[in-house]
Amino acid sequence: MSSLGSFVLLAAFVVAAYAAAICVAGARRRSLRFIESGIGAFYLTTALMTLAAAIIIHAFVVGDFAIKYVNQNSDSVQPLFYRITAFWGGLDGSILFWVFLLSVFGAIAVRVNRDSHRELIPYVVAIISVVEMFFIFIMVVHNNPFDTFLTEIPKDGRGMEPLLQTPLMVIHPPSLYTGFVGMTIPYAFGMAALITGYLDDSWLRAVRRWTMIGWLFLSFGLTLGMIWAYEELGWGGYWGWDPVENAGLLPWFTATAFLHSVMVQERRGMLRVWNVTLVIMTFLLTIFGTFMTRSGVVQSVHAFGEDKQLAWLFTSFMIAVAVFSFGFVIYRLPLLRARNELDSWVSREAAFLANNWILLFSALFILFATMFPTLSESVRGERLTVGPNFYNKWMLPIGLILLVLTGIGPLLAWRKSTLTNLRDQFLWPVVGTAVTAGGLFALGIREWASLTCFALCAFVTVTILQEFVRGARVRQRATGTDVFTALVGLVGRSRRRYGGYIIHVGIVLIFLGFAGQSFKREEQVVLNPGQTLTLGSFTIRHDALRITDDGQKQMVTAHLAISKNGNPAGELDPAKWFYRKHEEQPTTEVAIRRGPGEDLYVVLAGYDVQNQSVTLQVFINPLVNWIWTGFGVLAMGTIIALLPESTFAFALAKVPAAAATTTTLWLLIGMLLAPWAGVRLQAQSQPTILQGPADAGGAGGHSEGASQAYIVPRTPLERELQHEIICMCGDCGRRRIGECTCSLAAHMRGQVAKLVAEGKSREEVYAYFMAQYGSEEPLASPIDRGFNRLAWAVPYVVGSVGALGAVIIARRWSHAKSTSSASGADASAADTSAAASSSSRNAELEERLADELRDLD
Amino acid sequence: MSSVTSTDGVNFRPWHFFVILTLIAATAAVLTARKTSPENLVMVSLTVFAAGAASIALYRALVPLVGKERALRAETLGHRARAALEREKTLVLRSIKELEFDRAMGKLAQEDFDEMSQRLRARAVGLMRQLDASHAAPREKIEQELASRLAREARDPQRRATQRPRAAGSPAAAVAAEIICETCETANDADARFCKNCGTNLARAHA
Repeated sequence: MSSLGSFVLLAAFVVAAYAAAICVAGARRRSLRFIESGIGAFYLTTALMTLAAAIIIHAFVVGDFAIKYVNQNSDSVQPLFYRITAFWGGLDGSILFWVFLLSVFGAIAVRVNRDSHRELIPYVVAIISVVEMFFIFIMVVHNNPFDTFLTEIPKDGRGMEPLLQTPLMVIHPPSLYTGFVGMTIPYAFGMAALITGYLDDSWLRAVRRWTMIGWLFLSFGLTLGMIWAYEELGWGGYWGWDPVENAGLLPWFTATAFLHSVMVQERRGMLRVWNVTLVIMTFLLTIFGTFMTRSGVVQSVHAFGEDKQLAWLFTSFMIAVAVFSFGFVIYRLPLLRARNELDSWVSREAAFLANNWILLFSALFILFATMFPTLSESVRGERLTVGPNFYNKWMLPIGLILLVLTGIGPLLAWRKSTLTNLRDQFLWPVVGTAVTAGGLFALGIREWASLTCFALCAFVTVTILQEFVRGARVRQRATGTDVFTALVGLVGRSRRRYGGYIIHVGIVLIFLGFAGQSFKREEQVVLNPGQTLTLGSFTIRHDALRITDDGQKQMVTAHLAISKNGNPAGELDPAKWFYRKHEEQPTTEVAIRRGPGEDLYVVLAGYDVQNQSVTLQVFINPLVNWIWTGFGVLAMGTIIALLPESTFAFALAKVPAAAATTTTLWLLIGMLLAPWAGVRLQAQSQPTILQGPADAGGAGGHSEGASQAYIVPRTPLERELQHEIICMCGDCGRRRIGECTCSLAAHMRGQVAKLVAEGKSREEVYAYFMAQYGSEEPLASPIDRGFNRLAWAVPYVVGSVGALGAVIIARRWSHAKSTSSASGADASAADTSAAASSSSRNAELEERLADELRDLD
Repeated sequence: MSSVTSTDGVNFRPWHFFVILTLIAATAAVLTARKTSPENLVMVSLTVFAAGAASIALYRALVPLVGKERALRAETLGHRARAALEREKTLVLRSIKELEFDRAMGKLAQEDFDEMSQRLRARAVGLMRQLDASHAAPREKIEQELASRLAREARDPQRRATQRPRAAGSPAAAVAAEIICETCETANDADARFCKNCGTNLARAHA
């Protein structure tokens, strides 16, 4: 079977090459015969990739351990489910999976748009085929998943990484890949439009849905990744700015920017160059993301190890793509000129411009920060760390600005807003903001960032509510139905707009969860049986430590009784699991008691069997569950935006049949509320122990001693330092020592504690660790001096250059307006004179216009 | 894949052949499989199905090459331009709608609304006029034709009776501006000098 697999890959490569070549030839010679054949070959690639996927899954299912990839990622005792999903558990398989998904998506996209975008299709086929070729090429020459052992075929496999044996990790990669792959389709259409020169808005229509689908999957994948990190890695957080997480986030930012700016192009015919650029950038960033995670250029929890050759392959591909794409953009620049102009600075266009600038800045900043250690290594030969502190410092204000824009954007009218409207529009949202801020301040919240964030959340929520209420009222007046039908009709009539608002509600909830972070509390304690710890409203009593074995793994479990405000609130059982064959990497089983207000999160960090004592890391994470809920709302909004018109037909009728409408309406409301209620229920459910392995790790300094006693931080300085110094074990993905669970981190924590106890200052502690490791690497963010100043300067520079660029573009548009307004006046004068000459005809046209407008509803 | 290879109303298409072949192959593979656990059998058949799909796609890729060459139907420039105009019009109409909605939501001052709305409406009317003009050519011709024909019929009921059977075949026959050949009764253009069917000298016949 393995040789058949290799053969299929080779065949797929040849067929993809054929498809690309013959489609371009067909398009140039205007030969339908060639193009048809090319499309057929394109489908053939899809079928071949499906075949290859089926072969490898078959090999996993039957346990064909002669294939190296199967051997590395599976063994005979693995459950069937994980044996199948081991397909994308490693590097080679995930590339195969990627191409498979891309070919399926591509085939669907080509099939759907075959007739409506006849002129673009040949080039779309060619471009997707070339991308497929690149990945198949990598597989054939470098990472063949069908490689076999030549001699000594092992009897059994090595088993899948325990870390990945969790349902979350099973759906997370496919979801991210689907998102990435989804972004290739817009790129292919964009490039086809550039090549053919059919640069009207038709390609955008073909692409919009695909971008939304890709975006949805990307968001889903990112959220799953966050849940995974939160529930499996056991450091109490969900986003550690790991390079791989960042890799998924980069295209998310540019895709979000595209989804916004595409509206400007559709409505106003502006930002045409910009949209093409965003599509190209999104695609490049998805490739770049794969490159970062697969080639080991940056250190990360997820990285598959260093691979110079692969790095070169990816780099050359990316350079080729960039040159090709931007070359065409420049070539087609004359066709991409804006058709309209900016009427006013206080308009939605301007708000979108600002939004795009911020989103792009975020993407560039994260890209830069992720690459900075590599950059620094190549320039100065010293590897540094750019840790969460650095990111958070920048992303906090950026996030808040984005939140402000989320609120302001919908309030502004296209083209122009005047002072009176502004007052009218902003009255309630500002009142809401002020009330929230005042209320929270009165309640004693002094954390300025969180306070601002909460207030802004209120601002955006009120804005959106106002939009819905006013819109429903307007529609009610216009159509004469009841409020609810009007509301549904409103959403149905402009699904993208109101779906978008619902997405914004989701974003608000997510921000709410982020803001809760600053009220996070954590404690590290050693408890003997019977002892208790009180943190916030929770009291934890250590009851017993038990060691059990279920044949597959040995489990060390601490049994803790929880009470909240003195009332018993169930039991939590954090554990460490030692899998057979992976004993050196115990997994941390976090125990979480979930609640809408706060999560109690307990990690068994260490234990001592002799005297039954346990070392616990206890976190109280406020509002975390709102992040997941927010994603649910976001997905719902996206689906509403994607739904076809007919779904809402019942409420779009002007005089609805009352009975039918009402029932359907309630059905719909029920449908909308159901997932919400489900989430709430789940959120309130009693303590859940999440099963599954956690913690990256492996050999070297990263072994977890069974009886590591934790040192509880005593002073604020020590606590802060635990978040400013990172673990140097090299396996944990550069986590901060306060978060890492390995023995080296424990040792480093001990050193910090000693130094602080000796009365050393922060700088002296820094100096101590820098001396010990010979570089600034152990510091979570680079010290602002010398070359490192770049790290701090670049964001400013990029930000201001971007702002400047946006202003210049806007000025140019305004300028274009002032010069063109003269000719515009001429044109309108000509219009009116023409109108005067045939006034009867004009009246007729006006009437028709009114008719059409009525029909357009 | 529209080439129908069979008869008697049963549309046997080429892909049916591949489906049958695939089913046979899958059955054979399942029967001969050494490991007979259910998941193995399912995977084996799925693999064979994928191979079958590949063979259909291969056929689909090769058939156009041996088929007749059909030139890529180039949309006429006029057609494209018209489509662009239509799109532009829809865009403007939507903008007007949006503007009205924004006004109703209280986001827009009345004078701004009036000014923008006027501009957009003027633009929409202009576009509509352009659109009318672009298909005015055929439409006006038809209208003229119809009018003259009706007039003629009203004037000459006798002739109408004689022409009725033929009129369906060549609707333009009765139009005054055209010449009916006296020998074969074919309609010819007004300025035709010879009948396009039988070659009779029309000019002489009418003179």
